[in-house]
Amino acid sequence: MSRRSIAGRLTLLLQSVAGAAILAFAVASLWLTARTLRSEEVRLLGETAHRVAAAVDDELNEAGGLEKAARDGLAGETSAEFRIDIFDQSGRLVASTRHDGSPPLALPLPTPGRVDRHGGRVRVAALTGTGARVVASISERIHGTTMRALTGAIIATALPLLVFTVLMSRRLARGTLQPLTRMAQRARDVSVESGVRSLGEPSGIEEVDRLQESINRLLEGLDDHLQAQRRFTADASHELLTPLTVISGELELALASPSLPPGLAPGIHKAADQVRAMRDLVEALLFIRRVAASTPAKGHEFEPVNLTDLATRAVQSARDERPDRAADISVDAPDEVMVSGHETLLASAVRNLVDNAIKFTSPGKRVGITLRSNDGSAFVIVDDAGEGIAAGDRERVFDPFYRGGEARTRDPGFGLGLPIIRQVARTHGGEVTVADSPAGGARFTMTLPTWQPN
Amino acid sequence: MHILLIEDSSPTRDLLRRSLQESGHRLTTAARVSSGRAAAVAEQFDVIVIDIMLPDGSGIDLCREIRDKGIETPIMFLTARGDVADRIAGLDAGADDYMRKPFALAELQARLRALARRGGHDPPTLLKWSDGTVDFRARRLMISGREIPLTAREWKVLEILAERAGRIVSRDDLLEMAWGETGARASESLDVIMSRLRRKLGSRNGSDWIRTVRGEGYVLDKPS
Repeated sequence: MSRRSIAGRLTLLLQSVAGAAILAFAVASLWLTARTLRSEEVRLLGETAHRVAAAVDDELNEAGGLEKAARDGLAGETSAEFRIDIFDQSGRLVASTRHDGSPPLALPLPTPGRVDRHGGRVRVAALTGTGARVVASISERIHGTTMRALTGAIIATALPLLVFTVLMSRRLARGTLQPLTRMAQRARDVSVESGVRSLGEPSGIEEVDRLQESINRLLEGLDDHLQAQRRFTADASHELLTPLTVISGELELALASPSLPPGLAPGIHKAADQVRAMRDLVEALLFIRRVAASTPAKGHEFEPVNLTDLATRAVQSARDERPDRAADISVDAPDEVMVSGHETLLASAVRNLVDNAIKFTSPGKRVGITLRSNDGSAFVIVDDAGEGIAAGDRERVFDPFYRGGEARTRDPGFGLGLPIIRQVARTHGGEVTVADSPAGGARFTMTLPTWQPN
Repeated sequence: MHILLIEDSSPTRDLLRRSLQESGHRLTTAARVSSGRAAAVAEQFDVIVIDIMLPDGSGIDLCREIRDKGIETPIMFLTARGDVADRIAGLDAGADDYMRKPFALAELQARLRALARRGGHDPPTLLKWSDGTVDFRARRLMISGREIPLTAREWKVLEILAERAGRIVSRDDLLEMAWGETGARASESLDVIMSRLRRKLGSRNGSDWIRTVRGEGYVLDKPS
């Protein structure tokens, strides 16, 4: 469906109404003028014909001879527009004003008392007492000229008026809809996190205000929901992370205690590592929940993070945990690859990509971590020499409910798993994908936007 | 060192009590905003540690109240949510440092010692020189009009040095305060961060802002 604007339609409506009104006015005034002009002409023609007929009768009474009487009867008639012809009973022209110098009127002569048009003239006839006919006529051209002048005048007035109306109706339509436009602008500026509950003062236009009220109600609902969500996240962070503080602290105290039986230390170290892994997971889940409303997350959650440090640390930890594999793991990274993000989350994501690669590569085969950045994007590329992932499964391994044969998505520990790693990347405005690795196995690539100054 | 801990979780209080007492500190605890406020007013402490989320109010508001009463004791926040917005809210309320839960006890102790040593002095907020500005509050480093990104750890190290500008900070102190440990790995990491900081801060008259004093530690020269 194509988009149609209300302003456009309103403009069109206003223009049509105004245009029709102007047109109707023009037609009506032309028609009325023409009618009035014509009836006035006919009345004057009739009057003139009768006056002349009466004058001819008077002249006939005084002196004989129709021709002289006719001429005398016409003597006082000096109208510029009218032409008067007098015919005897046989239809022969006996006298004429011939003001316009045109040839005598052709037969048939008009019937007395009736208006007719003939030879481009409007004619009215009157009978004298002796049966001679006085024909008063006027050229239709005169009527036409008047009407043309009038039409011209009307067009000269109506056209600017029409143009003016077109312009005004556009302004009027825009003006009427301005509150709507302003509301749309404000609605666009509202971000979910800003806690805006109202789009501003009512505009005073009923329909617009009703719409605004509905949107305000929606915003209030959203904000309530969001605040509840925030409270939950804050509470959950507190409830989950406080016990973890105690657990890790107690483990730390135990490790520092001189009375600790030496055999217990490795186990406690492992427990401490698991607590850290669990903290990362809890932070990841809470963070993702917190920013779920805005992807990518707003900058205030983020700080500059050097991916090279994260990769180095991930590899160090992996080497510490699997000394037998230490030599298999290699890193190739520039000194600094700066992105904007949540350090704990990104660290967990990188760490889990590395752990994943080690898990699916048999000992003695290489696992490579490569960091690159160009054109505003940073890449964390993790190559393994495992079985690889079939082309058809490359999207599904990121699906939280996917159960692959190798259960790549599930981690025996508290690892983040691929779906959460992807979520972390997306929360940062990035992505994780998998392809074939030149090393023979799978290549996971995490792409993140590089840090940009504000 | 006499520490006031305002924290509602009793296992956390217990843990910190044992850990801090073992290190020879004296600890007074409170579980709520109200009792914490009373304790802070009643006695003189070296450091006050406040959990942001307390059952009867916010630790940030409590911090502001304490400052409003003219108490200049260094304050450290404990927070489960440690994002930048929270950090700025805490520092704006007059806190001197904050730690995210869960934290390492060694790091907490190192930071508490650092805070107590500093006393009630303000943490650095701004460093300025001809072509550079370091805004510690907003965590923004500008060099020749361009913003240079620093990681959280880099900021930490720079803050520690700036708080003691003109004085030598030993390597071990720096490691304890910024890493919470003095192991080989942390030490390696410190070297990397030092070289990055030097590169990012640039130099003055051909010499680095952060100087190494052989055998003693590091010193950040005061911009004059």
